[in-house]
Amino acid sequence: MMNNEVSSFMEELTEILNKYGKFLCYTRGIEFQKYSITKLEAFKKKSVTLKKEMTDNGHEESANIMLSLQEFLNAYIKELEMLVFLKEDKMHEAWKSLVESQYSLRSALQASDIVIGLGAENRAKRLFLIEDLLFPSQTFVSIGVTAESSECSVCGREYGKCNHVKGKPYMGELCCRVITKIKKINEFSILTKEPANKLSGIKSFLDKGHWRDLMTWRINKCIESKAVDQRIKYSEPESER
Amino acid sequence: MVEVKDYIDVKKRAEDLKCNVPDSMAILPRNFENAKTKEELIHEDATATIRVLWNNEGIVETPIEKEGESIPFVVENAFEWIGPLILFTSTLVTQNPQLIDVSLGVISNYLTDWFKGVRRSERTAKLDVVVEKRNGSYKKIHYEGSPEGLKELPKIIRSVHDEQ
Repeated sequence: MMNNEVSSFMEELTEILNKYGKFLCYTRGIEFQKYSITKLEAFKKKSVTLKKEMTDNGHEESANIMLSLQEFLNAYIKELEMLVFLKEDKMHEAWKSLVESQYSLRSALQASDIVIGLGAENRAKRLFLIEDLLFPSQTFVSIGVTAESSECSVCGREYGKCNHVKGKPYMGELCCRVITKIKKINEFSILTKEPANKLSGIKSFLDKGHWRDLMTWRINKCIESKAVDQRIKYSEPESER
Repeated sequence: MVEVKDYIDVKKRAEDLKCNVPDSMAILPRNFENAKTKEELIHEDATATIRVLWNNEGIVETPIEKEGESIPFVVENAFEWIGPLILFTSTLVTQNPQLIDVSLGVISNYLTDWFKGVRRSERTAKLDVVVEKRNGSYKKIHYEGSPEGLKELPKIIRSVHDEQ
């Protein structure tokens, strides 16, 4: 059964998301979107406090529901941030916020089914549509390793020796497998489909001597200047001067 | 997608590698077929998770690792879920066939939750199952598809076990 405090928090959350969710459209004024972010961030603090209270009192189900609601709220904040960054012509930041919004929704859904009633699955589909319509196809990178040991993020014991399972919620926290010892790196891959981490991607490529930004197609002046520095270093190593 | 092909004699291979010889069900390392020594064996990332899931449901597996030994595991960063190589011996298929449904059902249910919030088109699970046939030979079944589709595997496993 849901704790009364969590239940009233959920009612308040529904109200606040109705109020500020209407600014999740590109055409809304950026000033409203920025204001909505500050309001939702302030409300998020309340969710953090309540989740801690549930955890401290050992109410596991309520703590997991609070984790789910907190992540759901965060998905709204990140989507608003994405719109602001798009308007400010900060495309890599916009991509990062979009991905963080997607990841927050995923965590919300893994933590509890409660957010399905709030429309989390439709929000996830909406974010995939935004990704497909507004952003170019991305190229991601990932590494494959052989590991010798790992820990459970919930209890700190060796992963597999406790009862906690990766991706499941425990006392307001999703269990992760933390790799603690790598034996060797097996591969470095370039992927065009969904990688495990959509934030590790290729940002620029060398096009006729210039570093071109894959998101904006502009010449990346920042990398250009670093590349020039590198060339100088390679041609005149200090020890050779 | 399901593919079936011949597989090596698991019991003999386990003896050669000086591992425990599985008598009912076990998770085998990904390179069990080709590893030259025991030290070369590598598990899939998902092995530890499956063992915990089974343990939580009271499903008993015979690990091929001897007491106190541990086998390294690979971590490959992709959204698709790569499951381990699961062995079902003929004894298990004959005497405790419902364990196949339960053990694969546990994995299927876990994956349904795991893939929440992921694009439907990206919800892919890969799993290999080795079945000891009635005549003592072995077949490997490769599954690639949706997590829900894993629930169809027990029927295929029983049919492969019974074929001549």
